[in-house]
Amino acid sequence: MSKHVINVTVNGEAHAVEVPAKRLLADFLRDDLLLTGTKRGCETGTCGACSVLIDGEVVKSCLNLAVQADGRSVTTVEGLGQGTNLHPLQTSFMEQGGLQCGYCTPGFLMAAHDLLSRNPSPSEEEIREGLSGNLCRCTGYQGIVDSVKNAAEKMHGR
Amino acid sequence: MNKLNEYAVIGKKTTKTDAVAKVTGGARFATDIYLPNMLWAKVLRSPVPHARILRIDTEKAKKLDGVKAVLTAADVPEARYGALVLDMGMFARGKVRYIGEAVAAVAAVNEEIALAALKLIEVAYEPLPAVFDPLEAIKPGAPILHEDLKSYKTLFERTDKAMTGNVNYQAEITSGDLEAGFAQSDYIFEDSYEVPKQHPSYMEPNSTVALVDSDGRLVIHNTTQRPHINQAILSSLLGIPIAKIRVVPCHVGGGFGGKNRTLTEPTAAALALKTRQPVRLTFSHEEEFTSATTRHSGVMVMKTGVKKDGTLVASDVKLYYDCGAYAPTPNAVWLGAISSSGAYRIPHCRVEAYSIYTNKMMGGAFRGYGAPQSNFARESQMDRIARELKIDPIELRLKNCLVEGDSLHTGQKLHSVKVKETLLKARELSGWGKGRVPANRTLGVACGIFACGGFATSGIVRLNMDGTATVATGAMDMGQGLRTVMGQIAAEELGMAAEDVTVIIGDTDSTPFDVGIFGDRGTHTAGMAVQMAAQDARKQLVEQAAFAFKTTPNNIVLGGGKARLASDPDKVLDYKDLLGGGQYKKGGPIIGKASINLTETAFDPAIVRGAASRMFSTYTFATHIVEIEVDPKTGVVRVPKTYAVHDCGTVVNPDGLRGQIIGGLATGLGYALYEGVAFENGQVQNPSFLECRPPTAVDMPEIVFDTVEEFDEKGPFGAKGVGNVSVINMAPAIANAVETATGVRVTSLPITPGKIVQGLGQLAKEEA
Repeated sequence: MSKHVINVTVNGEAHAVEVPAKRLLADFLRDDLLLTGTKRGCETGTCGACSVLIDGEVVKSCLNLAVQADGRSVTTVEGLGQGTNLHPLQTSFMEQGGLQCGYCTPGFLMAAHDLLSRNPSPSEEEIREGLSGNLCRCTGYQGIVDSVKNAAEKMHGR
Repeated sequence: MNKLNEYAVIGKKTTKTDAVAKVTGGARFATDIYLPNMLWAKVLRSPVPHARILRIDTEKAKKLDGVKAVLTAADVPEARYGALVLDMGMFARGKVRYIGEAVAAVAAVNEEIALAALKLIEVAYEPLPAVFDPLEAIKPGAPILHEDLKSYKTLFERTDKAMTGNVNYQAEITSGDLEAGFAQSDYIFEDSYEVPKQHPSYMEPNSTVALVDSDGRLVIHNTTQRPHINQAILSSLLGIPIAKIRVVPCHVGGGFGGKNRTLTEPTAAALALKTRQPVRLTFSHEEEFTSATTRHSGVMVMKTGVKKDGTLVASDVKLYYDCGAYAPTPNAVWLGAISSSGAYRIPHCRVEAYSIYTNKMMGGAFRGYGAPQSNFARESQMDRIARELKIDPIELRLKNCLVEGDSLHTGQKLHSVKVKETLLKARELSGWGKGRVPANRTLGVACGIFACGGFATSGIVRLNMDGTATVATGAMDMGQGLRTVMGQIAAEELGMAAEDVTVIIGDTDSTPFDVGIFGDRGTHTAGMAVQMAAQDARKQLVEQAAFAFKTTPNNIVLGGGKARLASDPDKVLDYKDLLGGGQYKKGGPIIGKASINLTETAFDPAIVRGAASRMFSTYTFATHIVEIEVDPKTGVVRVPKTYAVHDCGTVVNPDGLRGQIIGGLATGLGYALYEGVAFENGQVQNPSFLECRPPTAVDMPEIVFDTVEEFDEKGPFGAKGVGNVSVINMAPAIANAVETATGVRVTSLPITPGKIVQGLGQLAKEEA
């Protein structure tokens, strides 16, 4: 099996590592870097639990190979905020009923991050559309939509 | 009664205690465990629906580099397990009964080698005739799945029809005089309804990491709703004493009933015991759709007698639930039977309920448990009756609905009955009959009843030296927020802040027994045990304070983490000073405990035969009204708005309540419109979220949500559950709205565009 050396920045930390050509980005993050906040759900790009940012844009890491991240910057939920330095999206999800079991939450946070970076004040409809690539079985989405709305308001000081 | 205003913590916004871990990626799920020397397990599954196993050859697989163990039925004890019918072993033994059944398992140094090894296992099958339809399976001469069925151990009182042919569990309910009831009726309605399997579609797959620890004990890290039952099942399957097994559940990535199962644990455990290395077994997404469990598919035949004025008089119901090749929870049909008379008073009733084997994947527990099926039938037929009798559907429901003091058809006398209030409030919110709905939209209504709470549980509350408390409960938080709710209950009782209570859940070494979280028994029943344990601890704390103040216990007031003298409120001691330094002057450390079973009264055998349980603690009610749009050309149904009114007792955690109810509506919406596991000769045709999709954020209606609060005397601070009843009304409400909008009555789920277009074509033909 062919292997490649990739240079990838993950949550601000530079890695130069050899990976098999067919290693999925999701498996690279989870199995190799032990960044298990990124979840594996359906393995087919439907559920969005494995969503991460590559250069700020949301991708499903089960549909990307690790080698595709070569020379790029990956952000996972662990890189969004930790400890007392949480991202407004994280605090909003905590306060507005944005999560229940939490398995889909990292993916939703990354998808919402991408949405707000493109559209800082989305309407409810735009939020729903923007998150339609991610599945949640617990919340019925209302708490998630409310959280994103709340985070957008916080981020724009309204 | 309801003292919501007096509470400090109950009913107040309380952030989930696991929220930080879940928004930072720190919450550890079973799939997130990586241990040194961990092996990866994979399972070889049957490609045929029904066959005799002639030979299994594992030699080539065992010789593959990196393979550490290969197991088949020949390598494990011949033991079977199940909730009521002990019919399933760890691996197929002698026969396979469905496509996807476990035949062998491999543990290897990585996933790739484990998968390669599966391909090297040779199995010779001799095909047997198979049966896929429950109504075919109960006909004489149908292929029999379990030839030795009568010899299987069961944990219910068998009726004559139970455990014969392909019927495993069977129950009958008879109340009043059915013949006389039909004789008194002016109209008789007889309809048949059909529902498919629905997958629970939790996002996290089934997963277990098993290992043998340094003391030689078996340790299980898994995703489960019932750690203590897992422990007991592993004990019986592997022949290991319960005390030598520790189940340490991880965060659960959604359960909804689907993880009230034991699927990956025994196989991972057997491989760990064989190899003495940690073993991870995680289901693939496809295995979830072939080899986990789903809501039971089934056929419901419903004959109902009605007076001219709409009074329900008699009901004869037959439920045929397809449990697949094994029956891990055949009592779904028992819950279906309980809910089958709807939330109505019907004096003359008969229900015959059957759980039937077919050569398909297993039916198991899933939110609504048995009731989404029977309530689809009941509430669809109620609208047909309303239409024929020209009575408003809500008026018909109000006329017949159960009220305080009524008994169910099972003979159980009900308390805390609020269905009427939910109907009235939903009617008001939706503007039903007031012409407020836009011209292109149509309303549809359904209400329902579900059993809430019961069975054995226990709780322990320890007070710590620093004035904090540690609660231990075997009851699991699957995401619904039980951990937080338990903390609120203990905090309220102990007079401390919610953040001063830490809740330990699930770990069988540190928590006391709970039978599993299902049937709205988390907040209601396990919560009651925690409240009682906290009361026990509180009593001891009061005694400690009385001792410290040299007064009597009735002169002590607790609150805000302090004890004070009632006679002199300026005399105050912080809990940490009362408990500090381990100096317990009055007795030893404070440990509160409670052990309860809220299901103690048996049903009357003259009314119920084959009961799968004793009487449930209480019942919950809800009314849902949907506002839909139907495209008459394509048959596509949209649900832009839904009004949901629930009877939930005292609200403990408002955000948690709202989230659980809206989540239930989403599952009900999927059941109504999209989700249905499709089979062709026993083979699942749509084994993925892509093909069998749960609703997304854009599919969800705007929810107008309200509650009818009531004090349920059997729940902690008067609380009831809402996990199940929130699921059971969406499908019939949408079917009812579709008929009002189009004239097409869809009697099977899901309500696909194709069925509507076909129905419209049929109507056009009839008119022509």
